[in-house]
Amino acid sequence: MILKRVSIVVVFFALVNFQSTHKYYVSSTKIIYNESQHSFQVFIDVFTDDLQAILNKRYGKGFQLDPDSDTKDIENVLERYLKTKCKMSINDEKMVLDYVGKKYDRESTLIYMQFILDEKIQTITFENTILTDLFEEQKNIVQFKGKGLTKSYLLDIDKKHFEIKF
Amino acid sequence: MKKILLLFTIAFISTIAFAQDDSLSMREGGHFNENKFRQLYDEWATPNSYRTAAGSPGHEYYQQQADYTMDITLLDGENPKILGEETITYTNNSPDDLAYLWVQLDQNIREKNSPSKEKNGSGVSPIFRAESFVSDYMKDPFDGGFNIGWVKDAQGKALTYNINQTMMRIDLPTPLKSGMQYTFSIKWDYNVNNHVTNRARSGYEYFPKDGNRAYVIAQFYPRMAVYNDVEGWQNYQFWGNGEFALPFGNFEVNITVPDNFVLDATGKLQNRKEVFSKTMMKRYELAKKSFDKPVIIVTQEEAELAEKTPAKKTKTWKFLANNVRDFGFATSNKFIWDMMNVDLGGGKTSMAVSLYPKEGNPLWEEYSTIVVASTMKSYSKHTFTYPYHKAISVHAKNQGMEYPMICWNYGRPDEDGNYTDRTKFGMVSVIIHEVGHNFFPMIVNSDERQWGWMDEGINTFVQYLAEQEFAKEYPKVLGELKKYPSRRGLAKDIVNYMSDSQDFLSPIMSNPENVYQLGPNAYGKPATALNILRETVMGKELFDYAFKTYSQRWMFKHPTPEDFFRTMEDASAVDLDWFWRGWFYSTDYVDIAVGKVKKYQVTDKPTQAAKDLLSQYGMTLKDIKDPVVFMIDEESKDFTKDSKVEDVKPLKDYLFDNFTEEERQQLNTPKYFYEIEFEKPGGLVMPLIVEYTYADNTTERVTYPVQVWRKNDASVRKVIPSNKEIIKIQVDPDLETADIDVTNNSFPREKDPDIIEFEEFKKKQ
Repeated sequence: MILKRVSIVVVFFALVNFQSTHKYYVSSTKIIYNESQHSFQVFIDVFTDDLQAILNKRYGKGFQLDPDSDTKDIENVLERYLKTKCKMSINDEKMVLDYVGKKYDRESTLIYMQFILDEKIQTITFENTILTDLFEEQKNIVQFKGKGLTKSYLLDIDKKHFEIKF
Repeated sequence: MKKILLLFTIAFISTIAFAQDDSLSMREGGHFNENKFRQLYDEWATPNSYRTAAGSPGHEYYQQQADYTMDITLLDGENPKILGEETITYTNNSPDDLAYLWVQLDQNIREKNSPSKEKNGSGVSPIFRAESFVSDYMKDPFDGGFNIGWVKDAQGKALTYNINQTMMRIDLPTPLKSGMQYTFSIKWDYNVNNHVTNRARSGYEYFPKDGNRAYVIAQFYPRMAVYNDVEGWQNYQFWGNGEFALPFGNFEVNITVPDNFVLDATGKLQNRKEVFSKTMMKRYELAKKSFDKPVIIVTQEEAELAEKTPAKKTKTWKFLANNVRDFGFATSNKFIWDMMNVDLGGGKTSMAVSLYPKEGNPLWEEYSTIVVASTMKSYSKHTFTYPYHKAISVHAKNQGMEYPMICWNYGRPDEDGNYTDRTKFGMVSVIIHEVGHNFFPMIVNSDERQWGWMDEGINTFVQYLAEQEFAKEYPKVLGELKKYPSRRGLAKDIVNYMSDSQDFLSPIMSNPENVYQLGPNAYGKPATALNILRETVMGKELFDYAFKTYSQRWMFKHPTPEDFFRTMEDASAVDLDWFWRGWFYSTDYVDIAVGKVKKYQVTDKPTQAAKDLLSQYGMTLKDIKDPVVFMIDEESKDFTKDSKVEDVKPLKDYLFDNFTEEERQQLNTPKYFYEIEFEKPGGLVMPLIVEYTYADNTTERVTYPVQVWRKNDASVRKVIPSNKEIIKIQVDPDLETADIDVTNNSFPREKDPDIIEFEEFKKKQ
């Protein structure tokens, strides 16, 4: 058998499903704190099929996430979506991550975001609920790298964020 | 040399003296052997006459056989049903007498009250989509599972049986003696599920536009469980993730379906002339002669006509399959059908076949059959010549599932027939993967219920090779790409998974039911590990010979993980216990770093460091009579200027006293001496691959054997004498070890490659 991404309809059933062949819906995010530039660089790696499904479900139909059919509209809705799903606070203050762009790599879409803050970092809170509005069992793995620390967190519909104190 | 010995002796004595000063209570405790290179004696079963220490079947190796004759009827309609009667002849080749037989009832996983539905914990979610709420709390569950009509012996006498979830015990009136056969029959039926809405490995897909169904049917009959020397009766229930363990046997199967359906299945079609039209027969004869492209047996036009023509009566398709572990079939009035012949070399040929509804076109007519053909050839090259007479790829939405000679695959264009590269490569990859499963586990018949990686991981590894080979054979598939975009196989693609939090990682050697992420765990990581073993650790030649040996040794047999591990070592003379332990038995990861780099030159002037060392042992330079030279750290205070080896007087004297002019000409005269410390924050030991770049921009690649880590797991130092200055040191320059942190791989430290990537990406926006 092959484990692959399955369509939305299928996944609703997967909840009651006893023979689900696709157990895990995982995105992976890397946050790199670049101390010399005071910038946070965020990479999100998410399955393109899933991303396409949620964008179509939330913002209308017919978006084709593919290099050949990319439109400005897709960028706009993706940016909108990310604003609601990825939230960051630094020193207890809410920050807005800037959407830089995205690219496609095989089955994945890689999303680039960043944030610049010239301030001493004491706490970081990061929330990632990408695709939890599509799949209740969506897991979002987030790895933080910076200030001599590498740590990963498993976020999902229940545990939406993590906090690091320096 | 004498002096060095003396120094060592002093060092040793001083250690003892130090130890004696210490109080008893401070003494360190002992420890068990925790060396990463210790042998796997504790993990592995003791070899015996069934399975040898070499990893091959032993002289008393046995396996059971189960032969089936079956009559199957498919009732198409709104609530499709399968009716069946089978006679199983079970041969007990084991040395043991068996009081009962276990039969697998995998369909029972979809019984209304199946415990497998409750295998996961659940919580009340704060948000529920209506659709999800309805299916969770309001809908009546699907009424699945086998209804057993009767179980009878060869004389027609009822046998007692006991059903425990997905398994049925048949109580024998008298034990089945070693070497004897037992024949019994079962009658059953079950409701066929919709595999699209009710995700499953088999079932039907409903096409609302034309009201027809396409069936991909498997696990449709009570199947014998495996009895063997390692598990006894296989007794791990079917919970959904761990797949199947099945004995080999011969199948005689008659399948009755509506007369407007076409059908293909595991095995040789026995009554082709009865079920094929004359046109189909003619085309079939052409297909047998076509080695370069598929010949259409049922055209799209004909299939479209069939899906509009109601069935009048039924048709029975008869198959015979020898030496297979399972049986599957696909049938519909929607299927287009094509095939071609494949030359496997050595006079062997086999048919590559595809069945697909029009919804799969134009993608399927273009790629499916040629991918099947290419896969058979690639896998045959890496293992053994494909022994069956055909391999079929059937298009079913969302499916990727394998059975002997037949498999179901996804990859569907949109309603207008457009498809993205993602769909195309997804489809090509899944066909390669599922056709590849003919080799692992259909022929090299491992126990999938216990070990997902033995078929999925090994198969994904060969899939990677076959994907690359397919693109070489059919470069058209690539479009503008340079190589096939394999999703799994390359070391760098497993880094994300390997660097996940330990809280949700499991060793590969885990049961599929108990792992957190089955995809990377049973497919990606083992496939990558084998690729690394082939490309980096063993080399292709040693690996390929050993891998082929494993495949051929266990062809049509039942291997265990140890049989694989042992064979790979036995056939290559490479001890790999460290590799299996690290990659397969642990969740350790690779992280190797360049640590301190010190640059020395040689001098005849005594250095403070040398004096300090001697004085520790109560000696001065005067105590040393033999000529000595000193290594001076460029960063130390007494370093003055560049000195040349040739100018160091004691060395010069020594050279003149001991070598002829001619010999002296042959000697190197290095100028710089680098002492490089390599650190290993990661738990996995791996060969240390280093690229040194010199001041003149030449590079030198050195691979230190993995054994450098055997006495110190944390760090190792290496000395590089050189004429030229080293300007850069890079560990794992080609990213072939799955090192999870490459920011520490270079000297001088380079920018985090992620940050570089980010900045480059930003520039392009």
